[in-house]
Amino acid sequence: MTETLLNTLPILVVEDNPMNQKLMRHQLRRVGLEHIVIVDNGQQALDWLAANDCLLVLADCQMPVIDGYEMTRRIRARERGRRTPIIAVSAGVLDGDRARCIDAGMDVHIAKPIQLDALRAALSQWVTLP
Amino acid sequence: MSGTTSPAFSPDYLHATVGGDQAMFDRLLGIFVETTGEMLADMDEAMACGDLSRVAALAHSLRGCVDIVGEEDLSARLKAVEEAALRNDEGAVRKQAIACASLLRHFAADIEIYRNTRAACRDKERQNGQGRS
Repeated sequence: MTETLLNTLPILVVEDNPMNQKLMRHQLRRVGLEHIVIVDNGQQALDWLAANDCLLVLADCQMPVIDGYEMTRRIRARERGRRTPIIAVSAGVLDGDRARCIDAGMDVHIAKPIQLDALRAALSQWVTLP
Repeated sequence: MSGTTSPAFSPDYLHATVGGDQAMFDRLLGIFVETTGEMLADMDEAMACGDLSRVAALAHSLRGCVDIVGEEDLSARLKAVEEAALRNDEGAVRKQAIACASLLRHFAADIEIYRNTRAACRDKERQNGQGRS
């Protein structure tokens, strides 16, 4: 997929907490990303991804139904072609928390609540921010 | 975790998180008061039913909310409730959750007072501005 086409794809936010959902939408807009889809848990994300593509996934780790780790393992298992970047967002900041995210197949971990600079730094690995 | 005194709301942390966007700051505070009120009512119900997995999930969600406003003491208390609920320690859950819920209700009330005071100040400024023009 060309970079131009990729930039038309949405950011998929997977987060169950309504306050964090609003904050993350606001922060993504703040760094210049307007095309955002938000779902409540890993199962909804998998359902959405079965029919859609996204630029990258920003996922909470602890969620009901299917958590962020299991969601990532399932995304990676069925992935063909392009590898979807998955940014883990969790309250855990210990090395063990980060290692668990990476072991599950996530690409990078940022601490919750997200600070704008950390979000910008993580996103800029895959997205050219305005 | 310090004593049982209700923590006071400090706006600086949330201001930094939203990059100084005042409208978003106000919106998030409103969401905080509404969301935590609903979650605490659910927590009461889950406690009454002895549904510890629900208590754990609610404590986790509440922690997400207090983390956004930078309230570390309440976050640590909620983490303790979540962990006690996950290991099915009903006695510890009851003891900690009741104290924690009380502190959180006071904290939310403190935020509500802060919001109302800010709204009153804005109204006054608006009236003064209209008076001058």
